[in-house]
Formats: sequence, C-alpha cells, structure tokens
Amino acid sequence: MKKNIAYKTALSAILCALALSLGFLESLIPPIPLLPPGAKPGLSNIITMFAAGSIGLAQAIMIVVVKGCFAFVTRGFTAGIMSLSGGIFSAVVMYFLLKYSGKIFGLIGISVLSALAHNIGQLFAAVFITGTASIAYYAPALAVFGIATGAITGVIFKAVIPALDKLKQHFFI
Amino acid sequence: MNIKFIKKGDIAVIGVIILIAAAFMLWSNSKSEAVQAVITVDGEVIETVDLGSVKEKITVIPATSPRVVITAENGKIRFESAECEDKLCVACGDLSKHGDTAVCLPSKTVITVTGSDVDAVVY
Repeated sequence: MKKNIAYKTALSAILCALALSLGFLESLIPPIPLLPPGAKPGLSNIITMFAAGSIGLAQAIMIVVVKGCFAFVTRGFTAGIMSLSGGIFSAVVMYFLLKYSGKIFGLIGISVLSALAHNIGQLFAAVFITGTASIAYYAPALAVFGIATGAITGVIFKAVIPALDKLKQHFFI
Repeated sequence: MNIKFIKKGDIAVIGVIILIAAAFMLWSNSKSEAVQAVITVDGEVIETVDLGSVKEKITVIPATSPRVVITAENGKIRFESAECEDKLCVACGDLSKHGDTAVCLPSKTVITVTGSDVDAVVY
C-alpha cells in the first residue's frame, strides 16, 4: 500500500529528528573520568531500536544513515565514518535480535548486544582508518562500558515504548 | 514489541562478556615490564620510544594533518596537543602501562605501549 509507505516515511523522519536531538543532548554531558575518551551513552540508539523493532530494518538503517550524515556535516569526516560504521552494524544486529532472539534475550540483553555491535563496528572503522590493529586494546574497556550503556538504554527504551507506540498510532502503522 | 524486559540469557551473555574483557585486561597487564611506546601514522611505525630510558622530555611531531604533538617524559608518553576538533587523544592523558593506547583518528596517529618486543603492531 502506497499510503502505508508515506506514513512510514513520515514517522521515520520524526524518529530521525528525535535521534538527532538525543545525540545533541548527550553531547552536553561532560566527559566522565576513567572512561575511554569519546565514549558516549548512545541515547539515540533508543530510537534506532524502536524503528528496528516496530517499523522495519530499512527505516532503522535510514535513521542511522541520517545520523551519520549529520555527524559528517557537523563534526567532520572521521566522526561521520565512526557514526555510520557503528550505527549501521548495530541497527542490523538490533533488527535480527529483536526479530529472532526474543526467546533467549530480553530487551536488556538485546540492547547490550547492540551497544557492543556499535563498538565493534567503530573499532573496525578505527583499525581501517589508522591501519593499526593495536586499537583492539580499547576493546575490553569499551565492552564493559557498552554493557553499562546498553543496560541503561534498555531500561529507558522499556520506559518510553508506550510513548513511542502512541506516536506510531498517529501514523496508522 | 512483546519481548520481555530481562531474561536469563541476558545475564549469561553479560557475564560471559565481562569474563572475556577481564581475562583480556589481566593478560595485557601481565606482559613484560620493559615498556616502549610505538607511534604509528597510517599504519607505519614512525618512532619507537623506550619509555624506561627516557630522562629528558622528548617531543615528536609527526608530519600529519591535523598536527599533533606527542611528548614523552619519566616513563610516560602522551598527546600533548592536537589541532583536531574533539581532542580525544589529548583526553587519553599519560600512557605508561603495557596495552595503553591513545588514538587520534583525524590524523591517523596511534600511540601504543608495548612490551620490549614489538608484538602488538600489525602492518
């Protein structure tokens, strides 16, 4: 149905705006000592997860691509590549986990694994950019941090599902 | 989405990841004491600094854009300054232990502290 596609596109656009504003919001959080520099909570992944879980893979990927382009324009080439690599990989992982792993994992587990997928995508991009594999030394710290942020976003996700579902209903999806 | 909030699988997978991360950290901490810092730009080693024998301050400025300034002193090495936007490499601070790594992505510069043998740099 053509009408359905239009609704999905409009809803995705609103979700994109939400994701970008969450990204801005978390850029206001000052760097936390003891954590890997540049590590962020990834609040906008809440929006990606909602899109992956209740609209579709294409819409989830569209959101992370918009986010990546935004990072590219506002923070430069490297930031754009990092955002895209982490975002796309985690959106794909999210989609398949939400679709097929509901019997094994709950929202917390899926959120944590998606956060880790985000880190893995970024690590690969970083290794590719610098041509230096020793960046893998960041992996353990990132993994532990990813568990924490993944769990936090999972909790927030659970809390905002009703609100996002309400938003979705306005688009008859 | 009718997926439960938390399941046993979540706890299991989180436990496994923490164990792997802890094992990796222990392993990299248990490496040899003699440390040297390897500075690579775009995958090529441009300078190796023996952190154990550094007495006076050493400054390394690789030919990169954006420009970064690396200094080593008293067994520690750090990105002193950078002309990029976010300055995450400078935020990494002093590196002195085996496995410590600081990366400046825009300039493709990486500092890694390794044991005396260069086992962590892949060309």
